[in-house]
Amino acid sequence: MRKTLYIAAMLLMVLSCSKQPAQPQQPEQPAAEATGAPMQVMALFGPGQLGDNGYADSVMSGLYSLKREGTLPDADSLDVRFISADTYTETNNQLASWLKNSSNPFYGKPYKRRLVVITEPYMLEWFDELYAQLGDTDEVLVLKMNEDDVRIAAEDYVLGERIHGLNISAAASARAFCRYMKAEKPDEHTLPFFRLYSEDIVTYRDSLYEVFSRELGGEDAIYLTPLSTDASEGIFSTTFETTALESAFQWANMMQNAFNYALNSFAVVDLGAANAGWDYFLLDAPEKTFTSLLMDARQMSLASRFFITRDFGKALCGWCVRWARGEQMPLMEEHGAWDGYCTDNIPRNQ
Amino acid sequence: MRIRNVLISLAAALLLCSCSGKEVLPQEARTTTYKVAVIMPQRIWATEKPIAQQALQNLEKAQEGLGERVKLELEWIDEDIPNLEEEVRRVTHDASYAAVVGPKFSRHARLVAKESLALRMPVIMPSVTSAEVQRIYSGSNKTDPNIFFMSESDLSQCQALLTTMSRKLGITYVYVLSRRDDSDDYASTFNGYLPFLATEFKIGSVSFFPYTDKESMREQILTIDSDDPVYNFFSSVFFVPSSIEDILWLDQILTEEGIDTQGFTIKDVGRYALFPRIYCTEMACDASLEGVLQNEYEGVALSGSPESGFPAVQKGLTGREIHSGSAQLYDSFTLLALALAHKEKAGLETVREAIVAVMDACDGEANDLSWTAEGLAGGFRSIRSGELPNMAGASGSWVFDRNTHISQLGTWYGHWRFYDGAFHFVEYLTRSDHAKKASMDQLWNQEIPVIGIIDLQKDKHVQYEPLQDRYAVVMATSTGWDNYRHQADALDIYRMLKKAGYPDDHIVLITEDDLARNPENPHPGVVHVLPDGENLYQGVVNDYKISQLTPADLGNILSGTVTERTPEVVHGSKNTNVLFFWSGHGLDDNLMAWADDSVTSGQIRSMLEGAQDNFRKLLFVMEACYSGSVGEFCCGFPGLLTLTACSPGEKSHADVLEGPTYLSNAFTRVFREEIEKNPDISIYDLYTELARHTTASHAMMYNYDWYGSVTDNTLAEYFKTEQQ
Repeated sequence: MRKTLYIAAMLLMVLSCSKQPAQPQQPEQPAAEATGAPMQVMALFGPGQLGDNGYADSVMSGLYSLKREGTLPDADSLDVRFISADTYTETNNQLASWLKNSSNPFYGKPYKRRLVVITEPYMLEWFDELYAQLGDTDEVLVLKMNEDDVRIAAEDYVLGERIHGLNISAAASARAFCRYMKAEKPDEHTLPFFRLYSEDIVTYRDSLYEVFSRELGGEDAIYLTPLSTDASEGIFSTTFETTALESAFQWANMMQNAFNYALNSFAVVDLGAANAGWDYFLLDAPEKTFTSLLMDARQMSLASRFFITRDFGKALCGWCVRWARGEQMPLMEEHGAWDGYCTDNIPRNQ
Repeated sequence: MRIRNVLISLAAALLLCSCSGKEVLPQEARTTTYKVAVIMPQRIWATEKPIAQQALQNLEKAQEGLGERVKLELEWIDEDIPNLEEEVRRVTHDASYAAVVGPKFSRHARLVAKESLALRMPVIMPSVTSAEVQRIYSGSNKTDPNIFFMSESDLSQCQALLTTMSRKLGITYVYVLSRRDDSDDYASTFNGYLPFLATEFKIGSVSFFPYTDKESMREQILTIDSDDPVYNFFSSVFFVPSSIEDILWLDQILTEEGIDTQGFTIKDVGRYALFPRIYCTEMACDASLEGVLQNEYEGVALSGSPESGFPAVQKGLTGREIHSGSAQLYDSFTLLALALAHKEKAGLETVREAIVAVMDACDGEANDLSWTAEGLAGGFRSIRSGELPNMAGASGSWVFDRNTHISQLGTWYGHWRFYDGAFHFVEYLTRSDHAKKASMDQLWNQEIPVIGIIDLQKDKHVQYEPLQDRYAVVMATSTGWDNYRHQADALDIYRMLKKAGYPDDHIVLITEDDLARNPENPHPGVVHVLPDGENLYQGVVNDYKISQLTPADLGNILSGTVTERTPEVVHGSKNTNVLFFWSGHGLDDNLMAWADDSVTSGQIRSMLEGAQDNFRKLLFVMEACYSGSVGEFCCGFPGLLTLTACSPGEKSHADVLEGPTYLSNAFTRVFREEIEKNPDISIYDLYTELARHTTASHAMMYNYDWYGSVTDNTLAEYFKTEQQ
């Protein structure tokens, strides 16, 4: 009997040990059916890409505009997420994890369709061993890639129709700029061209460089100056001592000193976030006479220079809306300079 | 026997089930709901509520599948209601609320913080940036923190804005357009610290253009506009709006007066005008101003961490740039929810200790995406398994001040330009390199790295009569408990002089003597300059009350003229050293406070002129805002050396907090410490230490050419006993 009482006491003790500390508790609300969305779009950013206040941030905004009211008939039908790790290795790990787990991480239900958006063409090569893990309904969209390279990637990675390319060409605007430049200063046929990295493995900015070379009569006409030698450094570290923005500022200053004698000297500036530095320098120097063309950065109305802004976010959002509707998406979609995804302030009448 | 075995098995099974009950199935999940008061102005609820909603949705998602969940139930309170104090008291005295998030504006922060102390209810202030408020409550936060700010103070904002301004080529002048009202906690930080920081940024000069209403603002704008375009070319306006209304006034005035902020304009025939570019503090980056403002501006805002993607995500979700403070608001909810989960799991007694625990687990190295639903899910899983996660937020690293936990370090500022009716972000700025290691104290207590104003090659030697006697005049020119520090410092100098052998009849002590028996004094009969310091009031002989003395009386005291009103004076000669210590308020350039009245630099100069035959050497030590202006005014006297707490345009700063009361001042504290360390310290070394260690102002030295060698002359002749 004593043992039975002991066991009963133990039972009581056990029951009381499971009791939680008193909390202001409310009865569980009847939960809405939480099954998760059937589709997911995931954007993959390289280390240091986010926060560039330019291209990458535009892609991110475009991605999340899919969740804005009215963009999709049913915003809950599609989840969006992104990967942005500090290192290439971590990016690779997170992508591998994403590929393995095709279920909604919160609701445990498998997605019917998934899309991974690779935001820079050079990143395509980083994950070549992972593409075999893509599910049958997983697709890849690569931004800023030209059609030939998308075809090659489709074959190399055995992706068939599951890979797509999306690009916005600024070539028409660039050609207009070259015509303006030649008209303004017929004797000037050299063009300093500043960009962030020395090498981009795949097509660099939809052949902008080639457009300028062709329009100006040969590659010798372009002086290409990279701010950073290593794309993996990220936009914030041109060197250990300076940021890309500071470098751009210094380059603009140097340009001014070098070309001070000229009434109209031209430069093409395509430095991503560092464009702000260039823009800032010129804004504070209204007496400066040289003219520059900034890529993907809008400027103050004060600036007496030109810009070409490609709204990749808008293009991505439009593409994804059609993808979400179940449309058959083409291998390649390329928008022109005047298709509504690109703005510039270059005079057309030259 | 069988029954007993069955019972034992049953007990064992129950034991396993209940004590490993962490594996509760999702359908049995228990959600604990916590009430949170959110204090924000109703006019911005439309932009703030979606941010809160986003945080709540992500919190819900992140806890999907967990057996124990927390949920925040928000009660929104309009910050602009007339009976705010009543509402705040209701909430902060009601234990059913888990925490308060808000207010939005610095001007209401003291009210909320003060009321929260009753129950020590946790208050998370997303965007209150006033340095004074943060500094005052850091004192009460040291032992049992309950007030948390999600951003650094406006000292960082000052630096961010000056960084953007200093990129403008050739910038030499900064015109500060602000409310010149020290009771306005927001404006006072900028007014107080800008001149100091501008000097550090190598900006030539800072001028103030104070306003109180729209018309006085108009006058100031027109004054700037009428200035020489060449000066204006090298100038920028630093606009510190204390409210949205202030920004609207400025915009209306610029439009009404036809002032173009974009460059040269022809005002009259042949006369060109250039209005300096206008840089605004974060207050101006308000979503409600988009499409409303007519002119172009530039400025900084409290932004999210750009590396976290939060600003870009918000732009995607709303179609416009992130507005100031929304990342901090988002983080207030996620931090609180994680803390509540930790409190439950760890069985902590208070929410505030749970918040501190979550903060302490963050080292600044966490994944930038911790703020997303996926990142938060990892955080909640860790907490429920008994481990505190290393998180980062949408606003930054989630590394808080190590000493006080009062503010998150490494705040990100978005540098914006306003044009075409909208805000456009140009770049992001932060002091993030400090975030992983620094305390906010380092910024409050910013010291000067190098000084070099004295050319020792020109060090002069002056011949004096032999030293035969020493006198001192020690005065605190303020009254009342709120100015405790001035009288306390005067009494401490009195103590040093007594220690150095000055008899009472050689020290003329002038204080209001209203501290020791003040009803607000928590230690009746005691006055001290350190929380556990010596009672300085013991044995003090106070000669005059400042309120009963006039500047003319002081002139008589210094010159040794005995009158009915001034029986105690300096009976000096050309063989007498006099130490003259002055602690009080400076009202503006060339005007010092004197009890309820004021005295000009000119009057002080006259007093010193009248006393010239009454001293051999006179060391004039002045602790007051703008005291440099007095130093500048009082040059050309043989035997006079003036040390001031700050330069002519700067404020000096209080120091040493006990509860909400400042016990001392920064300059005087350093003065005291250096002399006590080494009474033989040379004038040059003393000044070097003062200049380096006086916090947030530039200590100055004047008239040293007329005093003699700053390397050979020491403080010993004032502060050492005659036997020494």
